[in-house]
Amino acid sequence: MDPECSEDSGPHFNKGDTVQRVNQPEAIGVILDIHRDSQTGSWTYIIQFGTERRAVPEAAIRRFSPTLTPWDALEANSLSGQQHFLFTLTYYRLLYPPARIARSFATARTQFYPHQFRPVLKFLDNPGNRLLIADDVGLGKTIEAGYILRELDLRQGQLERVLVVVPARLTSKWKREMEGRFGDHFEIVTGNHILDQVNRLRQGRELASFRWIVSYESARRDDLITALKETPLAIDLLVADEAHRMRHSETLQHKVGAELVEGSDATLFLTATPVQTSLEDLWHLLRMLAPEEFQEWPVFEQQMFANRLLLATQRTLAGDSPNIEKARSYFEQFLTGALAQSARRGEFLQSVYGRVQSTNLDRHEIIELQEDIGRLSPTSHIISRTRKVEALPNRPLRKAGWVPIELTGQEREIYEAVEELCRMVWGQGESSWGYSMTLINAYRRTASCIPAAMDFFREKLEGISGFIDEPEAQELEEEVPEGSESVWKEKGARDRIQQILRLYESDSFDDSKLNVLSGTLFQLWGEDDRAARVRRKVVIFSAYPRTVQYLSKSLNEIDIKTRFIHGSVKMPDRETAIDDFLESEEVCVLVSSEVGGEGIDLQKACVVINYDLPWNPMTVEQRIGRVDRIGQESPTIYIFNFVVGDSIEERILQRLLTRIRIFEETIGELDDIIGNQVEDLTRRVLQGGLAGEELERVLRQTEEALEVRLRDAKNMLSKVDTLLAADEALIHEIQSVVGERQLPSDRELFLFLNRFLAENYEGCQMPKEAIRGTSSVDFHGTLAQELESAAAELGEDALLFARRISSGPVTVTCSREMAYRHPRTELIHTHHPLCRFAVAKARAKGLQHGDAFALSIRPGRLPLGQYVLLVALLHIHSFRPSTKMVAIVTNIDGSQLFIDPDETTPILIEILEKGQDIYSSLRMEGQFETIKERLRSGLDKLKADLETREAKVDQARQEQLHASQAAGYEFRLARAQQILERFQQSGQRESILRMAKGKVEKARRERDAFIEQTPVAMWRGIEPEEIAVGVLYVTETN
Amino acid sequence: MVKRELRLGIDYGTSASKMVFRDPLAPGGEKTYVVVRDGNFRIPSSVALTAENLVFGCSPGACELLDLPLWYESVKMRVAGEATSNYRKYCYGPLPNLPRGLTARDIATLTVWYLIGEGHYVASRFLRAEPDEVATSVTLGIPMSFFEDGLLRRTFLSIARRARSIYIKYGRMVSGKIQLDEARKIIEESSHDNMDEAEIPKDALRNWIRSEAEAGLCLAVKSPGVPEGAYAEIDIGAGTTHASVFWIWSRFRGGRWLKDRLAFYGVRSEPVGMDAVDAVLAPLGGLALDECLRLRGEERETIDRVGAGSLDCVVKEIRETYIRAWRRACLMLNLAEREGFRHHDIFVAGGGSLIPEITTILATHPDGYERPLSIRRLGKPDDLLRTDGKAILGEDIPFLVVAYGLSYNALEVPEAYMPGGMHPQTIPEKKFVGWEEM
Repeated sequence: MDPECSEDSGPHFNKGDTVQRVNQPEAIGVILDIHRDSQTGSWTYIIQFGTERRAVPEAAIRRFSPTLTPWDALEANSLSGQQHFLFTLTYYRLLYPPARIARSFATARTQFYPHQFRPVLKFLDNPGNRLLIADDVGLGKTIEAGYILRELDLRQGQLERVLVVVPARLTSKWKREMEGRFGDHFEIVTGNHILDQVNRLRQGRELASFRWIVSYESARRDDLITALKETPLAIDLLVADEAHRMRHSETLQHKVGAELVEGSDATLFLTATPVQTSLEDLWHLLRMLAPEEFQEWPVFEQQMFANRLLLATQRTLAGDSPNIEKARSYFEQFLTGALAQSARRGEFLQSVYGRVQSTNLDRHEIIELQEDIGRLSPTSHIISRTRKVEALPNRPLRKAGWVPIELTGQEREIYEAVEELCRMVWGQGESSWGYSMTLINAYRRTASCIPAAMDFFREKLEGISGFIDEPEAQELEEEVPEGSESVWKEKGARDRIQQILRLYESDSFDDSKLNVLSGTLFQLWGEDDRAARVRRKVVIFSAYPRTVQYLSKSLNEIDIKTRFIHGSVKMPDRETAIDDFLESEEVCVLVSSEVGGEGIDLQKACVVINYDLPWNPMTVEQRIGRVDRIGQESPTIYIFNFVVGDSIEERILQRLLTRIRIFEETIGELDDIIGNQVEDLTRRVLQGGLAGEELERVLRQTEEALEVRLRDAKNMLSKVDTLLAADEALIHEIQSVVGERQLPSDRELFLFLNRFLAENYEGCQMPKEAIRGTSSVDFHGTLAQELESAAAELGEDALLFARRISSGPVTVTCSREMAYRHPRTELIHTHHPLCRFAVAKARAKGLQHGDAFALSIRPGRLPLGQYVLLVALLHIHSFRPSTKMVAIVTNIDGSQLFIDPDETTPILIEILEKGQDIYSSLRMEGQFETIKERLRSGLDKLKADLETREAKVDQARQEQLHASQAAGYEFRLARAQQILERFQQSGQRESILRMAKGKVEKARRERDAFIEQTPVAMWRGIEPEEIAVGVLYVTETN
Repeated sequence: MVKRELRLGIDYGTSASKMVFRDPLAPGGEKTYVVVRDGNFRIPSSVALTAENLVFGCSPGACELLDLPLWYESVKMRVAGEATSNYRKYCYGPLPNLPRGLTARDIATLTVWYLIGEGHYVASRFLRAEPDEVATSVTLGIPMSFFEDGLLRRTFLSIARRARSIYIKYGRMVSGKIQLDEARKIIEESSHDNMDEAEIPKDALRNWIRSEAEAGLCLAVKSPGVPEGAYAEIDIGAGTTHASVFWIWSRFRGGRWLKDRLAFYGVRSEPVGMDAVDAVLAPLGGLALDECLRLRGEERETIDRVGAGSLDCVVKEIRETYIRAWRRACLMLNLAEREGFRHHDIFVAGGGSLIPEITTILATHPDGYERPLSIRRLGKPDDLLRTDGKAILGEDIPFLVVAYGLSYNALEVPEAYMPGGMHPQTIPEKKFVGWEEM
């Protein structure tokens, strides 16, 4: 032996001693064995740290001495590093989630777009449980509704009955989105199912739990309306998408909607076009939602006027230099109005007025004042609206072009033969909807892709499949219409199709459209190669899965690597295809159908090719929307529309779509505006009823009419904005969730969980790929068992997860986007049972030592130097209890003290993101108490400032909220009583009366409980909790 | 004075060596640091003989020596040849005469001394400590086939021990250069020390020398993403390819399954690696054969230019190494066990892991099963940093895993059962079926 630093003395520690690492005090372990190092001669200890067994030299450990507070640890120079700092802050943020939207934010498989949480907060703030979401198209209203449902589910326990009413074409989309994004299984049903439930109720049977999607088309039935009028269906949440369809009170849609709203506890209306011709459109919708508030049109006009003044007040307070004088003037005008007069004596109004008159408000106070002014708005609580310019301020430019396809002689013959077939058959055959659809479909297929259409015709003639084969059926989402098959059975039609097929097979077929497509692609990539940039990714859309498959195969044959997706591509294959397209540099083309691409973010692509064009302009917008979304880095999106030259499509579709500028700008939901005009016109042309000058005249008229209607709709839409309040405070609240790291980031959560797993369950940690990608993890051992035991406290999801992991490895991800792309993957989020389990275990274990740190960051936020940092939680016990994490920083000589969260929060974030471990040689013996005192006084000041601000308005807010909530409870009680009276008058069965009485009792109980239990004064001050202290070095080198 | 204790893992490569030191007292918790010298973590293992000196840490063409030197390459393999008197088995190409009075083992000892000195020097500077304030223990990596062979194991153990002893006595080799007479004197003195393997307990032995395969797998075994089961590791270094077929075992202890043993069933080392790849590519890339090292690290681009087919012969040889290791493993397995091994994942390390033409062919099952084997890549360990503060790239990991694994104390890494000591064992049945497979 040649010990380098041999020591004669024996080991300082014994087997069984509890020790901690000198440089990592949170690593506490028990000595299992002692060895002498044969090279250095020093003592090496085998120590069990959690699940890990490590060999540590004597100099690196010390006897465990509990330090109860962070200050003790700092004084003892027992300093941890960056990883533990991150762990500690993550633990406290999980323990006290400071955000109201923490639950829905965490759990959905979506990307974070702040505007999508505005409706959630508005809904939570609205005691009436009613909201109209009027965002511009493409901003994710479905997801917003999903967030609200998720928030209600998590706050109130799983809702029993949820009904979503949507246009027929959107039923599958809703089902997919709710399942894919939120894991909620919805069933698509018809009006009969609702009727069955009503009948069930009439028969005195219990209502079943359901999550249903029903189309307007199937629910607009007189018998259902009558049944619902007699026996309202108790629904926990009703969501009506494209709610503008219900605005005309004489329509069946309105009537059925009104009856469903009547029975629902919470209602969401979704529309991008809440007004079309006048603001009365909106008033009708609001009146359906909250009749108690919007009964009279004149009152609504007053409300609009009052709201404009409040909005003006808010706007003058916004920005970097708020104009208080002007704000006061607007507010005083508001106070003279009839609406304000009625509330004049209210504490809340007085509090707001007092603050509007104040001249020394800081930024936080102004934001809060804006929020409180918003609370006075008579309309903003029930409408949530985000405009695209607001959510996507730097949207890329859309450049669209039409690519006319010059057909070869053979192709032209085929194309015209199909046109003629339509005319001929239409002339002699029946005129059912199914019949018409079949003919139009045949024509559209030919215009889309002749080889794929011929393939389809051949199969039809051979009787291989039905009206539309399976993939097509799923894609087109249409029921098999009556009369659809007769076309293929008619001798004349069959002969003509045979002729067309012979024409196709008579010569070697040259596909002009495909040639133009490949030419376009090579031209695009040629430009990229010349500019030495990465080749642009291209999404090619077609309405027909057959065309999708044909294109993919054909392009692959000419060495253009593609992937394809459509409705019947199995989910795992679809995931792989999308991953390949997004991740692989070699795969630059994705061929997709509408359904295949729905809900998928393809913003890595910047070129859209419409190989065929849908006749519904909304579908066109949805296609472009896959690429034109948040995260698109290209300043320009290129859209190529392929259209057969000198065709009906060119004459009708190209002209109309160009005129309404669908490719250049996003417009609202156009169904009502453009209706079925394209289809109607095409049908008339195909039938031979419209041609030549007559066609030209009709087209011109249609174009002009559409343009006028669109312009009017846009003007009216801008008026809706005057009904809203400036939601600065809401936006601030949402953005701070991420911007101020109120909730841990994916990486922070991952590190927190892995540390927890490492300490408790060896080999169960997640690989790093799980942060942004997916990774298979074998959570073996006792984790499943312990999680299952804890399920009673943690909830059913803990049990499900425990069972899942006990059956073998699971694929996990922390990325919500990856979770959406890979639906079978377990999304690990801040509210995941594993997370709750980790927090509960950490809490039960308690802190074994105080948390003090030595950290370093680079200069920027702070100048070079040595600082001491205190991180604390402020538990605010107010009517809306919350917890804020704050930091106080001082430099060593005491010349600077940073307490303003605007300054300290970015420092905290920088430490979380870029902090480094550092050897701390700082000794504060003489100054320790002084520094401690200084930081604590800073915390006290921060607390006092916050207290002054919060306490001042808390009472007023409380009163206002209390009054508003009480009104909500009163309204629900009154409505329940009305229903009961109606039942009594109509002599309903005893069981129905019993149910209605039960509802009245429930509403009364809730109201009484609210009045009795809610104390008028909730303010109990602010309680600080110090969680960490540390030495912070701001240095150029670490 | 209590010294700061570090563990230095030396991956003594055929053409380049890599070193990682482990600092248990690093701020925030134990960390490992890659020794970076002049911006590079690869330290040439070649030794130059000039008129009067032996020069270490240089490679032909990469350093300017006044005299035209004689270069000794692949000294490690020459030591094996010398010890076993079977040069043909271990060495390729010409074997230049050694300086009078010095053996290959002596040259290797001096090289390891030089490496220890460099590692210690970089570490002390990094820690802002004087060299004598830091105590370094050393673990030298050797191929598993050497570790298995009693003679070679003893030879390399003595190299490691003597090198460290020389370092303790003489300190760092100044400028990486030593006069021949001085070298002879030092070697002579060190030979008086008793460096017999017999005195050393098993754990201490593994703290002096450890098989590269075992060290390279340390990261994999500790990784939570690597479950118990059958694996192969193929380390395609500059001069040699080492292949091993092994099983990671776990035991149920303290209420948990702990992966705590590595059982090697078959290992094989062949003198084929990236040097051979470069030698094939050089003429095709317009370079003379003796300039082939200029291609090092740029093989990928050259293959793209000249076509992958040119590499067939080398790729075949590399795969052959793996097939031999597999066959050797099969000899030790009964039918049921062999079934347990059939679908094993493969870790590929070394420079060859960056050449897709090589990794692709390795995925083909040695027994010709259609389902390809999965090639696994190792991610960067959280606690691995560079002494120059730069980021460690993913492509560096295959070169650093061995040194990283060597920096662990033998007491805390899974026990490794060597093929020589293996007897057929019962391969555990799967504890459960993955839900995807149900």
